[in-house]
Amino acid sequence: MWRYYIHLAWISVKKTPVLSMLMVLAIGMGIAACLTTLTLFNVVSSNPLAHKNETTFAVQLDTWASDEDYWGANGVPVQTTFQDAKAIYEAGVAEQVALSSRVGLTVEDSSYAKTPEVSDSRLVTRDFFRLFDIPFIYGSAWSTEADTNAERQTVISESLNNRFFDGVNSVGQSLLLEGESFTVAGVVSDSWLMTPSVYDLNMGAFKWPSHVYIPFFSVEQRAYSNWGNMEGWKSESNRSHQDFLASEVVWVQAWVELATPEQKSEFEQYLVNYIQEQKQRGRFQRPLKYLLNTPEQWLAINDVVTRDNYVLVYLSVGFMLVCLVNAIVLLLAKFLRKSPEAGLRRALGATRMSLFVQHLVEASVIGVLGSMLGLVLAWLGLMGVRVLYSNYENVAVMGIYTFVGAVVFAVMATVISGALPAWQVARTQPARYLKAQ
Amino acid sequence: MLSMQSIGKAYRTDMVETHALRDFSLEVEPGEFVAVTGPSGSGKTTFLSIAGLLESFDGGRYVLDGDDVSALNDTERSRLRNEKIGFIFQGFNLISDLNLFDNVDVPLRYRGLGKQDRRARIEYALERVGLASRQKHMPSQLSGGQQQRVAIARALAGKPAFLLADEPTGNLDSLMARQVMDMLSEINEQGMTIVMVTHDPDLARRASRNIQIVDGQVTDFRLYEPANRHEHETALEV
Amino acid sequence: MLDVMPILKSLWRSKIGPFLIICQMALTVAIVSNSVFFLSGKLETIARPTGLADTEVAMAKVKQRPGATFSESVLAEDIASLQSVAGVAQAAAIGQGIPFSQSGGTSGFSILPDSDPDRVNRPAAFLQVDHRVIDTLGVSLRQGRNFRAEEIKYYAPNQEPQSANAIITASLASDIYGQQDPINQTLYLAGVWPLTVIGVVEDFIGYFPHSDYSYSNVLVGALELSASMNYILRSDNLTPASVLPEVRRALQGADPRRIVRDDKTMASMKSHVYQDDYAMVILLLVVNAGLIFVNVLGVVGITTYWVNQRRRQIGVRRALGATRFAIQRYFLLENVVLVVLASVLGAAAAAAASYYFVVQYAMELLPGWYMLAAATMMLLVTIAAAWVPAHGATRVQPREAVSA
Repeated sequence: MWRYYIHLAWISVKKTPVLSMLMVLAIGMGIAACLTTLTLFNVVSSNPLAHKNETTFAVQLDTWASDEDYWGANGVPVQTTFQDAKAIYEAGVAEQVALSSRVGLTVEDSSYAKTPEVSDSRLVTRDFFRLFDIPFIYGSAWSTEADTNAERQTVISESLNNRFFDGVNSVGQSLLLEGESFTVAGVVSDSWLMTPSVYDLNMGAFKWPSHVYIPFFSVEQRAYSNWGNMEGWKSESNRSHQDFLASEVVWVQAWVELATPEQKSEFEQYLVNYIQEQKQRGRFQRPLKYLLNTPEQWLAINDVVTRDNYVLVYLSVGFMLVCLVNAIVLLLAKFLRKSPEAGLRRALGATRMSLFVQHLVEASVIGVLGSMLGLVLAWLGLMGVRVLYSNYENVAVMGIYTFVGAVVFAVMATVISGALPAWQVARTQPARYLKAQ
Repeated sequence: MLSMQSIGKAYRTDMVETHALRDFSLEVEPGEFVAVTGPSGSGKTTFLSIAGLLESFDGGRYVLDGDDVSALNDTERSRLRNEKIGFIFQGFNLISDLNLFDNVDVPLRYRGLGKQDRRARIEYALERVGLASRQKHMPSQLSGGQQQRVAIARALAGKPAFLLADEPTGNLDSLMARQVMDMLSEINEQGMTIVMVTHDPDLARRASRNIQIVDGQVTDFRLYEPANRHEHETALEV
Repeated sequence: MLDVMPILKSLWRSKIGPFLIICQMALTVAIVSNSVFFLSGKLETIARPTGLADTEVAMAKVKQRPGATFSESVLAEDIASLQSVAGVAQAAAIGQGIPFSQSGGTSGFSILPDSDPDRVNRPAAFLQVDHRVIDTLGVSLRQGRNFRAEEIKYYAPNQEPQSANAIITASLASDIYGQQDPINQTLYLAGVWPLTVIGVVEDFIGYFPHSDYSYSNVLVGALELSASMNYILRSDNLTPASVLPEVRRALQGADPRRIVRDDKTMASMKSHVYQDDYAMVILLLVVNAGLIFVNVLGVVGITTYWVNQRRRQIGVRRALGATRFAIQRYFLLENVVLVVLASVLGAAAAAAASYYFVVQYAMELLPGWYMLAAATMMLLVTIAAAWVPAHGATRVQPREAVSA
């Protein structure tokens, strides 16, 4: 019977090609709009650290002024001071401590043969690479000793390696950073692109990874030009770099990995003790407050999903609704025009159910065609989005789950919207149209 | 074959109640060719709708080919229509988007027959009305008389218990009308029960029994001689 | 207008179709009014006056070879070589806070020092500038005077001068000083660094245009002499992009280890800053165009259906003497009735959606005339869409009333 219904549906679709095309077009547009914005939303709202969401934490310490809240996020500074970051690292309570800060470094090769450049760089502790799953193509992260002693070692990106070392394994070679010689310990793959860049949500959540990494505590020896955010509340006059390091300015992003609940509570106990100890030294003037945020919480706190993202989703869902209602209206018009045929079929012995199914199949044929058109339009739409938003360039791509989900959703939506017109036509009284020919 | 006892049917709108049939009784024996006549508004159409199980009725009892259909639900009535009744309408009521084969196929589809069975029945039925060679033609390519013959084929393909014809020649010119009537007579002679509703006394005369409905009740019936055999043989040759 | 009652009655009888089309139009009115309001806000942000000669300005960053820092003489040489480039009318040095660069500093400014408990901080962006910046950016002075060359404080990293002169924008001046004359008043940066206000300039957009106080800017007459410096220039023709290659060469000078980077026009910085807003505007426009298109499809479809369904009735009317015009008017009027019903429903939905956005996302409440405009647009579009099938109805011949 299904083949019969599909046969009939196809005859009916062909019978009114313009109306059928209009319906397919309307459904296709609605689905494309939804699919495009949902893909975008999916990218923006994804959590790249979901697989370790329960064991990875962004540390927030409330070191802000006694008389005012921190102005952004959740009212607690989103970065930490250098001294607090260092204390957390040195305490060794957390299994892994990833401290980091974005800087700009002049990169030169030791023979000055290549054009020098100022590269997007990060000061990081070695745990940064493991905590954020950064894959190495050559070498590895520097050693723990190199970390604590701030040895002149560096990890560079694949593209920087291509530029300065012609893509060969450069581990052990040296590179001049800010005029000082650093030994390459490892090269990380360009394939690593965390979206959103949960490790650093300052100045946009969609950024390219840095090209140069050097040991975090290098900053104790000299100042680097900070490319991240620095925020302060205290009127301090920092007359030297050492003053700056000891100041209340927050500029370090601190992450810890705590594999078990026990480790977590141990670390929390440590933080409580540390803050109380600091309070006695006149710091931490506000009520004791610290936060260990999971990546998911961290993305929410930093408003990675913007108002515009939500507006777009509402808009496209609204559009989709209009398109579906439109499809219902047109289907209704089309089906009711075929009422005489429906009446005849009833007279010849079709049950209401079989008429209902017949017309539902016809609606579904339109729906499937519309969905296919929708997928093509969505693909074009995503190309458009990539043109419009350069920072979504390589992230606004439809995943297989989105794709399959969209097809299922689209067909279901049209089947559901076909149900009402199909029911209307199935209710046709058999006697009604037989006389009035 | 068809037994109606004290059937009543009233149509209600907001303000008025119209009795289309009142205490209507009728018996049709197997093999009969019954013509139902009556003036416009007498209840002919209502009788046809009820006899064809297209509409329910308010009171009385209706036994069709041994089944009491008085209390059946919609789905059961659909099934019975499909199996027992062959319809022939004034306006032919072919589906214009389907070719002849598919048109005759419609009731068979709802019967749930297998592909081979359906094909055999359709081909037989179309052959019987002389249109076997035009299976793939669309209804619009046929004359009115041919269309009505397709409708007859459609009615016969389901091997119904009886044919229910509603002004079967109303939309045809006199030559075509005669051909169709000859065909019905022939089918009747082969044993098929036929109930025909018409307002045309000339047509009614060709039936074996005549019933007249006035104001929703049977008022009178007359018996006529069977139709002239010679006449319909020549008609089929055309 | 006598036709309205029968239209309403016939709509009521056919229920489901008209109900759905009203829903569709109502949703459209709600979506269009809200999204047009939303995008007009975006366009307003993009189109607001910058207070700058932004079409004539370009910038470049320079970083000295490792180990070297800027000095007053290096600065003077760079400015001189920039000015020698053909097409460059003016050049200046900015330490930080170049408008539209999205990189700079924001601080609290107050008329009282940090020690005073009554201190009220006004947030504002600050630019570290030399005496040429105001003219190069094309900012106009409203009150007081510009910096003099000898007043600019050049200082080594971490060695901020004890005091400096400052010029503030009109918005900040009225925020902080109200009716008072700000000239020669002391303004504290972060409560510790006393600045003397020597002038007030017309508002201009600062380094972060999306900030709530993008017009609140403080130009400080001091420059830190570190390893990096930013230069801005103003071209005397309208295409600053064309002078950039020469500017790059001029700044590169003789030292191959010196790095010149981020040379770009302010126009390109501006379009980068507003990229997301442009994208949003375009997406909203596309979806709205799609919405209107779908409604046209719907109206054409449903009117065609109604006309077909009522051919006989139209034939009767024609036979009874209705003119072609009256028939067309009937169907158009039917559309008007639908749109009016839809607009009422749509306005309610629009208001509800807007209220939700106000509560959830702190947006502004949708003004009523946006709904009115959306409804009017809907009316015009649907009348246009219904025109063709309604006109088709006029071709129904009176004899269709009688023929079977």
